[in-house]
Amino acid sequence: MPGRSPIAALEGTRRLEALRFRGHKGGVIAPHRAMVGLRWTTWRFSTTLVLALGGLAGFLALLPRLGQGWQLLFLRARDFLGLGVPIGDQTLSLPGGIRFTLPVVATHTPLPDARVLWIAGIAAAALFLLSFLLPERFTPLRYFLRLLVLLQASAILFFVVSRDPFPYRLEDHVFILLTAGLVVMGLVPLLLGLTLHVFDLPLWRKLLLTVLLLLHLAVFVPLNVLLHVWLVMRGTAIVMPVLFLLFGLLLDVFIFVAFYGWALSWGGAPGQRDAPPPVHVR
Amino acid sequence: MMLLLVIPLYLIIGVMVIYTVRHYCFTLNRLFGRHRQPYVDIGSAAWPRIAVFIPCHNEEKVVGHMLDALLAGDYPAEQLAIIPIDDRSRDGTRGILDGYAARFPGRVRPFHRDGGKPGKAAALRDASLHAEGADADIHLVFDADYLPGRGLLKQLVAPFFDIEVGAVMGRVVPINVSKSLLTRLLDLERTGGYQVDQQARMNLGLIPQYGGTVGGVRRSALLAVGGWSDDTLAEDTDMTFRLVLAGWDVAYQNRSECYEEVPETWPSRIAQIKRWARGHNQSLARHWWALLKRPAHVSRAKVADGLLLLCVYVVGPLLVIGWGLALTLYYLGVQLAPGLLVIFAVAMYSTLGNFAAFFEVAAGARLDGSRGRLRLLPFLIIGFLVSLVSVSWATLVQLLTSWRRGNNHQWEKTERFRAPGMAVPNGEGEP
Repeated sequence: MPGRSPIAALEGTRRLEALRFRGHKGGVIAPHRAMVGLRWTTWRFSTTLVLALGGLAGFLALLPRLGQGWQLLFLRARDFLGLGVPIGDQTLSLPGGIRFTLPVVATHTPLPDARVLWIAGIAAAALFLLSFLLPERFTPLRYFLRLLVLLQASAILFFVVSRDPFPYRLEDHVFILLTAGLVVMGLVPLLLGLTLHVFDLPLWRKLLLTVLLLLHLAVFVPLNVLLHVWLVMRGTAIVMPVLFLLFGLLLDVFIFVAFYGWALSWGGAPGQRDAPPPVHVR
Repeated sequence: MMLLLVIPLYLIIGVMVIYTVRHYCFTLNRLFGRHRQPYVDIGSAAWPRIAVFIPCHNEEKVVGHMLDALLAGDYPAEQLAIIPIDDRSRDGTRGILDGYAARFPGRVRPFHRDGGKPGKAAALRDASLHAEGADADIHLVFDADYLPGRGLLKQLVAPFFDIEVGAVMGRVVPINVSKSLLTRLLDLERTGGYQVDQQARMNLGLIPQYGGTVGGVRRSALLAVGGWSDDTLAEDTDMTFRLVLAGWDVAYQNRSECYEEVPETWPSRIAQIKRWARGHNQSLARHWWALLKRPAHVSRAKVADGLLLLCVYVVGPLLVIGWGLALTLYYLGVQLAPGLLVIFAVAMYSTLGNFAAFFEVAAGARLDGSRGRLRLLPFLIIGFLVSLVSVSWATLVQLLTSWRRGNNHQWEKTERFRAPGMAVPNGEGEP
């Protein structure tokens, strides 16, 4: 409009835009779900950045304490489970002068003898048969059992056929899974920043989920590894491939997915919507 | 020797990384990008003549609901011909269709087939050339179990006012969501596929896929590219790429929703996805080279997107091969890089890669406003596992039998679960 300042014109445009969504008695006309999206505001950008980078910084700052906690947990669990293995520690350094220690299970890796191979073979065959007996509605479980059997069969085959020694020690297994768990935990704030904090959830809930997820992994990762140690000590290295490939890092990732799905099922922040639609943003 | 294992593994990882990046790009675009919803608001216009084709093979359980829904629509009756194609049905389909034709003369015009190649593609080809009313400007296609809303036909026709649009696709929404865990998971998958994937393609000017139902083609475009192919299991994907290669646009209308019945049992789902995989792979074999040569009117972005879309069912078998290679290298004790670095890389890849598809689905469901469903998100892995095995097996069998030629066409359709005469579900109360 001639004579109007650009600021006044902009304000007018904004008011007009708001009118498009004003319904009966001042209510909001929600756009159809096909048209909703998110608006990239300064608030959204800054809170996402702070939560993501702040979360990562907090995690890195707490790494030494986390390492100490895991060390303590391993020592207690060894006695509780009657593992009877020496627990050592290994110091790692990250750029920026961050140093932390991880527990090390310093023991030999029990290898399967003929009896164990037979037992493993029979168990695998039984699982394979079971997968055919399950009703049709358990099809995914049938498939999973067959995958499990396939991996276990590959391990049996290796120990029967291979003339080379098994290339992994229990010590390596523990180290890899603990380190991978730490990487996943380090990624949590960043990945949540990209995929969760962009949604209209209250700030405290975003923070709460980050903390809950990190706490859960901080407890789960070492306990899961301890369970692996217990199983390998009881069942020999023949269970290591299955544990490593199916019940290690993959479980950490699915815990992340489960928490993420749970968080997105929460309601939005009061007074905010996941709309307005970007198509109307000028 | 090691290189023979390591190089293919790196290549496969490279492919997976590309698909992962694609997932994130599409999802972020859908969330924050500028939407393209062409002509969705058009309510009154000089509506063109349209023919709605409904391929049927033993569809007595559902086809009546479909015809009722179409007849209740607001598309001008004088401009609309409903053409159910009865392809040698052995149940009561023929009688139902003839009954509707008698009650709605001129509006419902069944096209009965008793000979020729069986199958949806061949039925469509025949009907689009020979059925009474098939000379309409726009040909829409619906499967017999769909339940179009009152205004859907207008919404699907509106994008054709753009003379460059050769095909239009609407959004498919499951109606039997609450039947089982499988139907709930399929609902989540569909949400990701349509609400996010297809809309992002539309926004970015890439290649939204015409999906063979809840959509249609411009008749002149159809004739220009030689009509429906009757020797493919995925005439929809085939048509998408033939149109794109011939210079036509494919439009996606996220607002144009139509209910469908998703498989309620795992065997039915497995049969469905195997059929999709084989059909899609046929299209890959037919069109990848023509697409790669990049006709002048096809942008580089469209070529890249088109190739990724064509290869989507090859990813499953590739992943299986990748796992096989990784397992072999695991037993050989081969380290691909220094210890800590490889742990870091694998953990990053596993986290970001595995999460990408979940992010897409979750974003779609959140935008849909149906948040409760998202608690099932981790369970999607079981659907992925079944799909992975099924698609890989179908692709392997297809590769091994591809040398066989001849007329082995048959109707391959998804089992219907609706009881005949049952009240049409209205979608209310679905989670």
